[in-house]
Amino acid sequence: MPKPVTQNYDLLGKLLLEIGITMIHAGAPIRRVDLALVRISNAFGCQVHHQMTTRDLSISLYVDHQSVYNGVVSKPGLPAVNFQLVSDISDLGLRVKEEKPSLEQLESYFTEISGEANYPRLFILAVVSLAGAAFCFTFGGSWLAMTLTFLATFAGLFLKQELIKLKVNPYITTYLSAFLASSVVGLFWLMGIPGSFEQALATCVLFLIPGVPLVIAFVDFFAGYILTGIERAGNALFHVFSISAGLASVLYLFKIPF
Amino acid sequence: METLDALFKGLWCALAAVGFGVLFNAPRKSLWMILVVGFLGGLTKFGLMLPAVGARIVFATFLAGLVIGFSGVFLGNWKKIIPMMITIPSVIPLVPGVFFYRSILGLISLTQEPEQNYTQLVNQTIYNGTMTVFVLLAITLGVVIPLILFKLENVKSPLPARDGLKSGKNTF
Repeated sequence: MPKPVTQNYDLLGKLLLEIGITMIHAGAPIRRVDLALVRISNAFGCQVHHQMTTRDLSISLYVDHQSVYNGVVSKPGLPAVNFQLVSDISDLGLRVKEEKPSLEQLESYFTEISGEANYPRLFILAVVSLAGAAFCFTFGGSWLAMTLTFLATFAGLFLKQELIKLKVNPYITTYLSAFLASSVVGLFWLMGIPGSFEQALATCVLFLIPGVPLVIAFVDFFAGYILTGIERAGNALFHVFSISAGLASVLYLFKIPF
Repeated sequence: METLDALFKGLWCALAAVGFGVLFNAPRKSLWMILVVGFLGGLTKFGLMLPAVGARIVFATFLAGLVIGFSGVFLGNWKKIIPMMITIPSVIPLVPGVFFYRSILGLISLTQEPEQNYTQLVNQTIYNGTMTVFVLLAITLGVVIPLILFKLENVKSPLPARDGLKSGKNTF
């Protein structure tokens, strides 16, 4: 192990807590968070031991088997996927390992990582709506169904973004977004426009599919982090339930025959 | 003509994959990889489901997931991108949307008073629900297996070893 180069373990501990909880919230598997924490703490001559859930992180730092820092951080709310943030913090771990910066430099590097969106909002709305239309095509939808899916996804995602800004409960956000997206298709059905709406209804809510928590849950399971895997799978399940509830509400309200 | 259709569906899958990459705020330099991997996944799934090949949807989706997983790990290692950032958006176009939708419809229908065709309704709902679960499992396992096999977290650097703590030496 490298010789200790810092005595300010309090600052190091707090930075590690912030880095760890940010990664967990951005959708990183626990093993990757562990890797980043170990790389950074080792670069400062410490060993780190941690306990993680998707909301809390507690760490203990050791130097020569002596505990030098114990701390806990909690972050309310549910994870918001941000791959750029995960990538930047992973790179930070590597950079620290190679450059061996000072603690102040580490703090400065971490502050530079903003995790801001790489893409303008309108671009996100347009591309995700196009993805919805593409989904519709792969399920055998007509051009009309694809257009409806595009409009429905656009409306649903717009509402989701607004509700996230208002910090509404994530499951209610998913429910309302699914409700609005399927309502758009339902309205066209009520207007009596001929054509099959099944593919449009089936695919207009797919932008809400919790793909990341579902896959990461399995990554955690395979890596032996069963508890966080269960948490993430449970989170994904509740999102699926919310999507189903939103879709089912529209089918009932609009009395769409099935 | 059917082969062309599979190719075309692969292209739309690639487009959908990029959409999800943007939604997840994937790094800009990873978008072309998501496009390529998403296309390969879609082409594998719909290619295997061609009448000439005759694979069933769960098996075709599992193999498509594996193709996405392996190609994502390869590209990720090559271009120094976390493979998960390529594979997760690429695999989402394979979700069983129509089975899921029909399962919801079936569940709603089951709340009606039982009629003559109720047994058929139950059977269809169970079938659609089971297919949804199995296709989702096929997708997830298809993507996760390559990540585990190649120990994705150790791609850039080996995990530093941590010594065990000597009992009684910590200061808790």
